[in-house]
Amino acid sequence: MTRSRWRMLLGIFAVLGVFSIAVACGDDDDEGDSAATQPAGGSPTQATNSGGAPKGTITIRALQFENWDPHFSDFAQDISHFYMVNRGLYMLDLQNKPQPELADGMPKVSADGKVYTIKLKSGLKWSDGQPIKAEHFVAGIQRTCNPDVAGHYQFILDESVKGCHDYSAAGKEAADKKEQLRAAMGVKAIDDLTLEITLNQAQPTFTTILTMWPTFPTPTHKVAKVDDKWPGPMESAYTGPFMPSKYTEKNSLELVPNPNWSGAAKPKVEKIVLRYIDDPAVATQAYRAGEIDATVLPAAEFPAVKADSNLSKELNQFPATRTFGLAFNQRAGQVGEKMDLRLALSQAVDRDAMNQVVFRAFRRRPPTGCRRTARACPLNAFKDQVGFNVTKAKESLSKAGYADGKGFPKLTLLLTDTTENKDLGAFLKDQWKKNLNIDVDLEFVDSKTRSTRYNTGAFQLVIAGWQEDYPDPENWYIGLRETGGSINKEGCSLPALDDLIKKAKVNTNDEERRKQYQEAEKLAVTNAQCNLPLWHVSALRLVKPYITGMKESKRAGDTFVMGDWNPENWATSKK
Amino acid sequence: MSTIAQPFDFTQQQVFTKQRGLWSQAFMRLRQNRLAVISGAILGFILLLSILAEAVPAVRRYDYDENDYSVIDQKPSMDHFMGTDNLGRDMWSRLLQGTLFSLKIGFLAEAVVVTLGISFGMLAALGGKKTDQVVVWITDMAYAFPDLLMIILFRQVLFGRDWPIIGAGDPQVPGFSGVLLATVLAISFVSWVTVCRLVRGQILSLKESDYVMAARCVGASQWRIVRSHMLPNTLSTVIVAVTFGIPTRIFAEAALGFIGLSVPAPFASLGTLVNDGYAKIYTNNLLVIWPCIMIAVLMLCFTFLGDGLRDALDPRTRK
Amino acid sequence: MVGYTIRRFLALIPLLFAVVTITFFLMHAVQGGPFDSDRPLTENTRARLEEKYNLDGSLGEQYVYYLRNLGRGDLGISFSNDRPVRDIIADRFPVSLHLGLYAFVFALSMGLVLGVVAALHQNGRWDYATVFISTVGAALPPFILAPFLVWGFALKLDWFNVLSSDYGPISVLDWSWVWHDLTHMRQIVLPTVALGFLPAAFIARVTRASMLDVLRQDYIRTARSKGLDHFRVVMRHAIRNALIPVLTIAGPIFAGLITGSFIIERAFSIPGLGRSFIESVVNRDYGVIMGTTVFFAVIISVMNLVVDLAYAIVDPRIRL
Repeated sequence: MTRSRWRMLLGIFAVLGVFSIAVACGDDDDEGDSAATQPAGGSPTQATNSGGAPKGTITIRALQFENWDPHFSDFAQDISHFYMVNRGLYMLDLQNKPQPELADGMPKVSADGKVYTIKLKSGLKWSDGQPIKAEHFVAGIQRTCNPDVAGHYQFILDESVKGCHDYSAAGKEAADKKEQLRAAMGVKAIDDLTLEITLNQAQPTFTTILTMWPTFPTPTHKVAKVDDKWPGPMESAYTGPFMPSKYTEKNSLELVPNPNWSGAAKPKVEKIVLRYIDDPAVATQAYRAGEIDATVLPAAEFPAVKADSNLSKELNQFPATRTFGLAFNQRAGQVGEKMDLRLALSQAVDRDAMNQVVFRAFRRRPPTGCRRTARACPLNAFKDQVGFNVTKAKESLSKAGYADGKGFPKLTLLLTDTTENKDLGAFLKDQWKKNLNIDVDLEFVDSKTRSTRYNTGAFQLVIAGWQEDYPDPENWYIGLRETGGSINKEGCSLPALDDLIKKAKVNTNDEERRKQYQEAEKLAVTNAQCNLPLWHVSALRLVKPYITGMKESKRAGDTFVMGDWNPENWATSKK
Repeated sequence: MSTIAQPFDFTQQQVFTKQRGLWSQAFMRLRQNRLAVISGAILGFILLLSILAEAVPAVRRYDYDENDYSVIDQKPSMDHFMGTDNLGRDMWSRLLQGTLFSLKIGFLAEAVVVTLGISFGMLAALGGKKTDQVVVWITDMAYAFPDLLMIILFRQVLFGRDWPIIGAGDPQVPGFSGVLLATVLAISFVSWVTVCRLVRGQILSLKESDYVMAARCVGASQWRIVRSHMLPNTLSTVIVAVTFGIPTRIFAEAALGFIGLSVPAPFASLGTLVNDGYAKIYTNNLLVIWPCIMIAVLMLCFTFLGDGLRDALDPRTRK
Repeated sequence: MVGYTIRRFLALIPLLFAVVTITFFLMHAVQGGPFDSDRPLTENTRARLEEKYNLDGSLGEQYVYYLRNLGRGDLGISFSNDRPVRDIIADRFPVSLHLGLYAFVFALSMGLVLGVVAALHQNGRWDYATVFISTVGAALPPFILAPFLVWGFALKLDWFNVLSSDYGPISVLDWSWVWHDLTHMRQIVLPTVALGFLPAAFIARVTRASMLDVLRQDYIRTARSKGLDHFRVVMRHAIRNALIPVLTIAGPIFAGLITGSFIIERAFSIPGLGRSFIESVVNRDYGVIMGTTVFFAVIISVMNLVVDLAYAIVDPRIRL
């Protein structure tokens, strides 16, 4: 018998032996059914439009959504999903102005600014063919206020819509009492096409709020009771331009045009595939290999892409509405209580150098003013007051009582453990040592630990940011910079600032209101309140040249997903 | 059956060599294994170099946390043997610091593992039936936990609190920061089971061996039997397990870096260096190549040394 | 043997109880809760969420509550997406199992063939090749290997894909998945190799060593001297005995592979259980942590039992 013969036999033996084990163990997974089923509504090919039949597929990198319920979730990636398949009464345009989407014209507001009457377009249908009625919007708003749904964005309606707070606070009450409170809410369907919303007080930004997911309609034929579970992607009905056709959790979601979509712009692609890839580095590799058409670019790869003659042409850079900075715990007895100390630490950080070495250049522009978004812009207040200036920093530090770093108390900077944050921490530590001669400790924890400690005030100094929910300056102040505000985790408190915010909140004169917020911004910065900005985020994208229509708006969460929230504008010329 | 088969003749060996003890014989055999000797030498060199780098500024040349923004992302040169990273830190110095950190984790975790493993293994094998059952049950249980989960949970529970010795803040033991000790303990807690089982099995089989029986017959005390007959025979198994165990612990620590539970900056371990390097691979691939080479070299050396030690300590596997 | 098996199964109950208890209290001792994020959450909302997921009682009450549900076979629900933990495991485990099986087949076949061939050609060309491959395999943990495989074989050579296939459920009744996999080889090869290489190297080493050991035994010499040909000696006498140590390590390796590797699943974007498990720890998704731990504990314990039984079958000297 030759040697090669037994070598071969041996191989076969090994493979067969293993295979028999493999098959024997393969029984118990039959219950794991694939979520891939056929779309609930009509066939996607029926959706025709004036610009010709939709063609092609666009595959983009996305993050797995956590919760499909628009009245519950607050995850950025979820919100991006919602706008692809759901639409509300209004929709923000690229200039951040609310425009009617499902509503027929702008709302009629009563003289005292409290009652909003909104007409729906006629003939609107859900993706499964059921008519869209005003009562669906009523159910949607009620659902957000529902204590049993316990939606994370309850706060956005809680104080504005009449009766919402009473209802949302009634969690422990009996069912009939809850029902009573729900009925008493200031949201009514006058008829099938007319909706009336009553507010507690005049709120100039309420139309903008009506563009947001907490006010999206509930398909009551799918969610019969107000606290029923929201159906999964394949079971629900949709009002947006696209609807899911295939879903495999953690892997991908495929969207096809919604045949009943009423908007003016009709979908131009047959299919959008959201490929769920956690690691952005993996996503860019897949992009390089041509497996996905668009992805975010991690800052660490920016220099390499910039140097690449092909990829640099596919690079898109957008300002995001997110600003990060130093957040001191300002409560009494804390190191951060002293304003001069806060100023000193901010003034000692060279933002330009930080941008170069930590963020690999230009990803995040150092704040020389504020973003040209909704945020009230106090000119160069940032730069002059808290910007990099070693002389001023040293002065501030001696004013705080620690000339040349002498006697500086123990201060720990709390950071989430990521590659970028490690560089950031090392950089900041070095800056403070070099420019102020003080030693700041670094503490790295995982994100949940950081959140807990930040939320409960168990920190001295963190790097924290704020992402705008909706494009209005008030979103940067209400609850965030007010004394005792629900999101004021730094414990910052300035009576003059409180007064200004209180006035601006209910001011229906838009121009005056914005001026008041500008004033407030100036006040906050000069007193080194709450958050001392270090950088603005700008989002980097790689988009294949054959894709068009991915225009960026600057809405909340927008920069977390590829392209815009208007997938109906996307097109591809790839064969 | 296995104890009867002794196909190799000791007589011949003894003609050429003087009477030697177990250890010196083993050492002699190890010396004959060129690969193992070279691996051992390389390991020793790396260990020495990384310790020297910590102790002597001339060896590390730069501090591992010394930022210099005028020389970011440099290629290797005479100024910076291995180039610099994006904060302008010297990679040579960082690599040595990371290597020492990982080696500390490897050795320290293995020390805890061996201590726990031998104590519990002996307890089980010698402590009577009840004790044995309890220890075996505990090892079964520890075995049933998913390793990574336990390491994460233990590390999270241990780290960042005001425990004595391992607590946060300044290193309470010089050279061994809190995070290092917490990681070491977390890794050890899930790893000692293997050694425990090994030791228990070995001692149980030794208990039945002829020479232990003989020693018992001539009236040797229990302690004497354990000390001079059982332990040395168990130790050879343990030493081999340790040699293979150290790289495993280094891997375990490295895996933590992928979950956001790495070593706090500006410190580094090999795992953190690799993990952080990947993010920058297209910009400066040297950042990931150096630590990968270091890990591969360490792994190879430990593997060859472990093979050599096993051959040397087991008289049956002579060529 | 039947009695032994039953006894071992009964011993599982206190074991699982201990695993559940330790995991439960350790998990709650870790800082941070499931609803902590930088986004605002009103006190009211938070209280309602905690009530909804039974996090409002004392730790002891929560523990008793969990045990009671567990006794009824209810693993609880995930806090992040409201799905029953059972469904999550039922969705993800087949994916990890699918990938793990391929990796195991790869590791075992490559390891055995290399190991046996090397032992039969000790110090020959094949032997050095095996030693080289197995040492390189041992020197490259998956977190180093995976990115380099992707870089070399997917980006530079374009033989395979960066992203993996979706690994649908496999079944013995419906064989369509085989066809699906055969047509998706571009997406399957790299994760399989990345996951299976380290165990393959390990198996090759063990096989080689134990084969060398067996070939030196007296009975092999006897068999040879009887005039049996080389092939029959190797197949009949040597391999069977040489496989015993391999069997011991194959069990834990199998359990390790099918329970999913966080690093490989992340590197190839595979929706497996390993990834969801680690994510649940990061998110403090208590329900998923507990459910998966219990599930893993059962798998590992049963695997151990299977190994012990298999051991008794191949090695007649062992009596249970």
